[in-house]
Formats: sequence, C-alpha cells, structure tokens
Amino acid sequence: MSCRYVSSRIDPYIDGELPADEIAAIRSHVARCSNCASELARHRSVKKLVAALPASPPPGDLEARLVSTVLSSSTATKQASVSNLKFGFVAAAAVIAGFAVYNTFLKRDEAPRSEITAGAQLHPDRFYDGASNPLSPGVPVSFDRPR
Amino acid sequence: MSFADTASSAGQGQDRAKLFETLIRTTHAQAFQLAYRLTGSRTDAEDLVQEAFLRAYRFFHRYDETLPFTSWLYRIMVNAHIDHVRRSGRLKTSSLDEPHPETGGGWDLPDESASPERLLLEGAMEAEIQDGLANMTPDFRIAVLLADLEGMSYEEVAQIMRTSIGTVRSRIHRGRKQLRRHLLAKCPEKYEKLCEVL
Repeated sequence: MSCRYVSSRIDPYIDGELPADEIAAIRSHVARCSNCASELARHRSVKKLVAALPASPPPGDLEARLVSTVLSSSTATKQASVSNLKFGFVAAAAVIAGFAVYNTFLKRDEAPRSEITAGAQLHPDRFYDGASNPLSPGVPVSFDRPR
Repeated sequence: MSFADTASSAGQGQDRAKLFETLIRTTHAQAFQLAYRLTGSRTDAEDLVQEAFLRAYRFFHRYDETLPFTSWLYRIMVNAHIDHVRRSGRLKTSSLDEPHPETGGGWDLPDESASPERLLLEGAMEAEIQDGLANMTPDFRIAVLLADLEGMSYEEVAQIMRTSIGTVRSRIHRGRKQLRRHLLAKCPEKYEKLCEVL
C-alpha cells in the first residue's frame, strides 16, 4: 500500500467509512510511516475541532415564531388561492362580455368593408376618382390616373 | 426522534398542521445549530431555518415518511443556503479586530495562555474555525458540517447533497484541507497546541 493511496483514504478511514480489511491495512501502514501518521493526525484534529464547536442555542422565541409563521403560511396560501379563483371568474366574465359586444356591434360594421375589398380584387384594372374610393367613401384617392 | 415516533407521540389521526408543529418543536434547535454554522450569523441562521421550515411545510405532502425528517429538512435547508450564497456571492465574514457584528461589543475569545485542554473545553478557536468555514467552498463546508458536526455517514450526506458517495468523500477531504490551511495561516500556535491534545 503506497502513501498516495493512504492519503486518498485518510478521511474515510477517520470517518469509519472503509471495509475492515482496508482499515487494517491502513493502520498497519500508518504504524510504519511517520509522514502518513502526521497527515492522519492533522485531518483527525480538524474533524475533532469542528465536532467540538460549542452548541449555539436558538433565540428563546424562535420556536414560537416558527410555529406561528410556518403554520399561518398555509392559511395565507389558501386565501391567496381563493382570491385567485375569484379573480379568475371575474376575468373570464369580462372576456365573455367583451366577445359578446364585439360580435353584436363591431363585427357587423366589418362586413361591408370585406365586401368592398372583395369587389376591388375582382376588378384590378378599375381606377377610382375621388367620389368612389372603395376603402374610405368620401375621401379622395391620391394616386394619379395612368396615361 | 424519528418521524414515526413524533407522529405517534403527537397522536393518531391528527391533522398535518398539528404534526408539523410537533416536528418544528422537536427539530428547530438542531436545525438552528447547523444553520448557524453554515451561515456564521445568528440572524442569517434564523432566516435560513424559517425558510427551510416554510419550504418543508409547503411540500410536506411529498415527504417520504420512511426517511428521517431531519435529513429531508437538511436537504431543503442546504438548497436554500446554496441559493442564498449564489445570490449574495459569498458569506459575510467578520474581522476579529472589529466589533462583533451582532452584539456591537468585543469578541468573547478564550485566553490563549490557558492549557490546551481548557481551550478545547471552552470552545477555543471557535471564531477562527467559523471564519475558516465561511471561507470554504460552499459544497465543501456543507459536506464537512454534515459529517463532523451532525455525525452523518457519507451515504446520508450524499442523499442530502444529491450526489455520489465518491463526491462526498472528495468534498470532505478537500474541505478539511481548506480548513486546516486557514487555521495554520491565522493562528498556527494555537492550532498546533490544540493538535497535541486532540
């Protein structure tokens, strides 16, 4: 077993994450190799220092604040959902009403316009004077009559 | 306490809100401890714990009750922490020469002339270790804290971090090296003194 291999296995060795035969092999190597023994000690010390960090108790009122805030968040979500539902109904009603108005009043005005357009396409060689503008009756046509 | 124990002690047939309240009461202190070491600030730790519980409650219907609740909560908290670090760029660190950011007073540092055993018992080098944690790569910090502070196995850390055991092993190895380099650079004498008794 090489020092390089031991170095790559030092942390799982410290953490007890290696199979028994590998643990025994590393232990045997470290007993004979001072460099690997030093590296093992350095990594182990860091682990112990982090594990020995003192407990930091939470603020006394954190538990009550968490219970209050977290459990009320569900109520807030439900209220938001109901509000969204109401808004959805209003929006849908507005769209339907708008569509009805469009069909009843506006679409009727469009019919003659499409007929005129169709007529214009049927007579591409027709030229118009100011009294017979097919798109805007009463408005003079601006292009010149060809020679 | 396992989820089954909590559910059982809280009473059969209770609603989910009542059950979650019991889980908050039994796990919030432990969650705060990890959050404090992840963020390095009590205020940020409170925010992180609250964010984790809020997300957990929102998705409580997805919780697999066969797994420990804390593992699931920690996975959520770790994700929230990484989101925060990505948004803010890096963790806040404090200089020991400046007033404590939360108390406004001085740092309560142990007497360096005391014996190594006493230094260890008093939580010596806490500020330096916390500073070292804050300067670590976030994924390394999370892996080291879950393994060393929470005492989790590599498999549990891998589940929480949603990665392979090989990646966890690498993160822990590199994380400990980063932390050791930091301690050797900032307080070599104190670190060496403590190593003698560890």
